[in-house]
Amino acid sequence: MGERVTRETGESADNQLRTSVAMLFSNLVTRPTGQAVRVAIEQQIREGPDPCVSILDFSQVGVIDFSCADEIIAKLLDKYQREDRPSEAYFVLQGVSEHHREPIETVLRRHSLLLVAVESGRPELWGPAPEYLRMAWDWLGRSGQAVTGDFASEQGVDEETANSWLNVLVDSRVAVPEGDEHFVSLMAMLDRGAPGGQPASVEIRPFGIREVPS
Amino acid sequence: MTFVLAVPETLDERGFETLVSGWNESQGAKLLLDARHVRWVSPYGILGLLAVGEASLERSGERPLLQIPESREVTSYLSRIGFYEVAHKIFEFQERVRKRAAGESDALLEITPIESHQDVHDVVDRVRDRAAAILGKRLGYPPPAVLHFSVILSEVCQNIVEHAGADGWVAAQAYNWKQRLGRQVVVISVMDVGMGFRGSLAREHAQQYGDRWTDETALEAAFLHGVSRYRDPGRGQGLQGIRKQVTRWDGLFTIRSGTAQIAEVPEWADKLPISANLADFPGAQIQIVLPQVVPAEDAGRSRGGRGNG
Repeated sequence: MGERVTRETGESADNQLRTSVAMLFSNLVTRPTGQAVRVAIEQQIREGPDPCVSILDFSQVGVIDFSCADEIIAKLLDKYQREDRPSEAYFVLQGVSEHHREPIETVLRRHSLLLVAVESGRPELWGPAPEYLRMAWDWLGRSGQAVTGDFASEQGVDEETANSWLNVLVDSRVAVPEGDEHFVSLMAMLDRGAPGGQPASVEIRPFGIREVPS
Repeated sequence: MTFVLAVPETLDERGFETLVSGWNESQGAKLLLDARHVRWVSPYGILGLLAVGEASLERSGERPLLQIPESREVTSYLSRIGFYEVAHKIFEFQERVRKRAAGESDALLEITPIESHQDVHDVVDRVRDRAAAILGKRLGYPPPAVLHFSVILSEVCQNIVEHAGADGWVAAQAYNWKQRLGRQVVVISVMDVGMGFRGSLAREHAQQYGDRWTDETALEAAFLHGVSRYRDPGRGQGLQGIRKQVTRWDGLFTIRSGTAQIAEVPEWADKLPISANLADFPGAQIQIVLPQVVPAEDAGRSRGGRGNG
């Protein structure tokens, strides 16, 4: 089951799509399974608001193998960080456990991708990030949002350097730009919260998405 | 003409090599596999017997004959692990053999044909409860180990579906390896008689190796460097992941294909990391041995017998 949490705010990415990735299979093994899950997520993004943060809920996932992690995580991240991406989507993994980490980290390393994952309520940056980038991501995470000048003076680097670091986070889809020199962490995006009213529930099936009464 | 091939008394990895040598000698003649004197079998040996039968059937077009073991203990074990259900599709039998065993199997995973991705799902779903009990109680692994074990099974079985170009089988069993190791182990075996690593990788990689393109170099490329037959850069991570996890558990991981075998070898195992010039055999034959966790000072104590009971 998934639910769509929408907050229309122009170009901001605080539209949220929540997807249980165990919706089709509780054990995410084999490439065809990964393809089916990825296609369902892509369809949900396509039919949802743009831009958006797609929350991939792993809390019901038993096993994820390397092949499936590659098909779901690596291919999704790769598609939505390319310049020709179909829409502005950002991804956060929620409900991950230690045993999910190795296959997912392995494919992130293989493809040089970064991802925000929430394990036991604590957000972490997964993937092969150099130290300066982890530090920038941590700082943005603590601040929630920042302008380049503040980050530069806090870190003792010039604004050009600070801007380039924060833009690398944006290019890797682990931070969201709001204007030229204003950046927001993905967790801050999520904390902006659900809108008032009843969110529509979305059930994802192998061959499509259908709205169901809440 | 029928070529009689005696199945070794101990049908394990070494016994399989004897079978493969004999299979090569038979040169396409109808094969009679005489297993009457078999006294002990491992999952690798049992799948090896099926593989030799399948390879013989594919080569000669005739079902090989199989004389079943005289040992009741061994035949009972073969029944329980599901050998005869699969063997009936490959061999002719001279005597009447009951496919299904009367007793419950204590195997971690009975012999299971792998023909599709759905079979991989089924294996992972089926093995979970037994694996949790065996890995936890007998090997002393922590609870999350069952999830890592499932990933290993999944990847090693997918290797057949994705790369072999033929069907295969998987089986897993827990043993007390007193003689060889003085510890309990779980053994996973996966086999097929498909195109093998050299055949699978040839189209994409043979040219760059030139004359050096052999079973040995193909295995090295896949096992050590994560090379795959597909251009997709995400491919080839499964074997690397298995190596890493098996090493973490101090296990042994071997892949035999064609005339070569490559291995991730722990300190306790007496094996070469790479062997070449073996008797040629189609497909890939994989074995993973996961040993019980024991304090270092206890390892190697109490070496005794073993049995298929």
